[in-house]
Amino acid sequence: MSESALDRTARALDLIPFISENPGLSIEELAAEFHTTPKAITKDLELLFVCGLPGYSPLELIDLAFDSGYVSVTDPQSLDRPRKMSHRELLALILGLDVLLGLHVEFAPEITRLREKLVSVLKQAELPIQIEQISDSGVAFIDQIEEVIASRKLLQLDYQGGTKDQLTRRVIRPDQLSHLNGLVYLSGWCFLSRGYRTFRTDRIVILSVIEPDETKYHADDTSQQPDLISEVTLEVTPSAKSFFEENSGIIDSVEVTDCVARVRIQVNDPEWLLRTCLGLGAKVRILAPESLKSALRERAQSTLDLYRSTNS
Amino acid sequence: MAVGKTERLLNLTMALLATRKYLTKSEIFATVSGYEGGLESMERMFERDKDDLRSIGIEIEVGSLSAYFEDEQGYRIRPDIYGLDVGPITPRELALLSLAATSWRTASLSESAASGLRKLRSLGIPLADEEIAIGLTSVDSPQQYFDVIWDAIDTRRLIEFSYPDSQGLLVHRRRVQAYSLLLWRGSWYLIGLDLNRAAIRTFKLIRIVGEVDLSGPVGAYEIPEGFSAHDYLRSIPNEQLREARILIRKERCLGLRSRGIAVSHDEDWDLLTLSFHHNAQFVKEVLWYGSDAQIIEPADLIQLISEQLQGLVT
Repeated sequence: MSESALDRTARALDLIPFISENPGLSIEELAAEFHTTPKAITKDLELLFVCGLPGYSPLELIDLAFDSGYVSVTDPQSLDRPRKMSHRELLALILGLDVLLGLHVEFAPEITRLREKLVSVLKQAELPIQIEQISDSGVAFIDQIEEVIASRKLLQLDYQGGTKDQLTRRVIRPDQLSHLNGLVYLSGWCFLSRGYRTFRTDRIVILSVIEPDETKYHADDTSQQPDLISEVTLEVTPSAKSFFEENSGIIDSVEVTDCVARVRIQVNDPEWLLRTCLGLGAKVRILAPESLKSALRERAQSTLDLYRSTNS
Repeated sequence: MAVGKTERLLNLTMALLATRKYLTKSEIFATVSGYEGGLESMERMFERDKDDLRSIGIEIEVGSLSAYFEDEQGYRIRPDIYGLDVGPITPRELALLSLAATSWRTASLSESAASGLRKLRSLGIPLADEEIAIGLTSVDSPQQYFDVIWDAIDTRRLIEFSYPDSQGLLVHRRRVQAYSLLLWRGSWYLIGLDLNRAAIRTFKLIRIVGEVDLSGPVGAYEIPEGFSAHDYLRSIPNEQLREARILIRKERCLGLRSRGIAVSHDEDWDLLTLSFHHNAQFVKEVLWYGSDAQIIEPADLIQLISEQLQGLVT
């Protein structure tokens, strides 16, 4: 799809003040900065070269040079200032600050002042998009993890693993941090499970930085242990709709009859399934395999016995 | 064809920015490069150009040229309105904003933030002496519906989508005036006026079925003045914070343990005191630990948990 004249106009208007303040960039660098192709930037520059103020004599045209492949502006004419920010641009920056604010309390006063500055430009008391503080758990380690990602070192974590209910010590080559559903997750190569894993940062108990040692910690995709996946069939009643939201990644198929969904999922950790189903009660039933079905029943019984013995 | 128009729009913007006095249409047509043809077609061209420039945020001021002849209208762009004015920004603030601009992984937000930042970087603010020690963290997608809803809010266009009822049984078509998008406890919500129910409703983006369609004209509604998504959600009665006491097996229930205060109870068990919000959610959390955790208080949760387990053994 070819670009509209308006998009080009907007970009050309922004190019001149940007080049004025950032002279000497290559056409490729400008293209990257403006999310377009070097060809488009070259055409923009060729066009700007013949634009100017009424009269259009050399003295009234925009004066710019880009023959050498590096761009500079000698006379921007009346385009000496950047355009004002759009609502979207302001809002996106404000929301970006909100994210920083939630994660880096040490910068809170600075960020808050800056945020107020932008909000006052926006001239809108209530922002159409708002975020609640992202997360207040697991934030303690974030700075440290970020440093390790940047320095390409390794992390050692004592982690309260999901299903095992015990601390495991793992060495991770961290790759990235991300936010999802209000929690901060760390993903990276785990040398313990020999695979790419994701960890909740709020479940990290102790964290330390270790130097990479190729002989000891050698990440190799071929050494990845295949996960043992088994197929499980569940019956999910409508009252457990959150089950679908939380587990969309492992659901194979859903078949609905009379409001009850028959769901096939791929499970690589039966322990996870048992613990999850126990928490959901009768809203989710395991239909197959039989072994998991009876394991769940036994577990429910032994938990129920706790309450029976105290009541009697 | 498109080049001609871009060139004309650029020349028009530059001329209107440079002028102190209002330029009349005839002055514009005579001097600004790109206006050609008969008067009528130039008039049409100019009207379209004004609208186009307005659509990219450039306001053209219309004013009267003379105190005596009010019908003699002129045009200009005021540099103070055209130009970016965010007050003084320090190098360090610019560095913080550069980080803020990378906070979102969602295309619409990250692109808008990047172009906003680029404008700030066109102000000639020197670079900060020291780097700020924050790495890159990014927030994951507010999903596919985010952009279209943001558009709808901006342009005040009605949206339509399918959404299940509160039991999750039947999916209904909703027609909604979108007021606000809110990231709340980790999920994105749309808050708006549901026209079928004539009441403000909250929709979880992840539960929307199929597509969100824009429908009808722009400017179709007003957002009530001072409407705040936060305040609205807070006004919905919430389950209050309560306290629970739970017996947990020693060296077990690590996740629960870290949320409260545990004291030794006997040889095998510790007694944990912690607070919780939501009954069902809390029961689910406790049951994760199976027979390693036993609720002692409050009584209604014991009832709830027993019923739930009963349902699994029968």
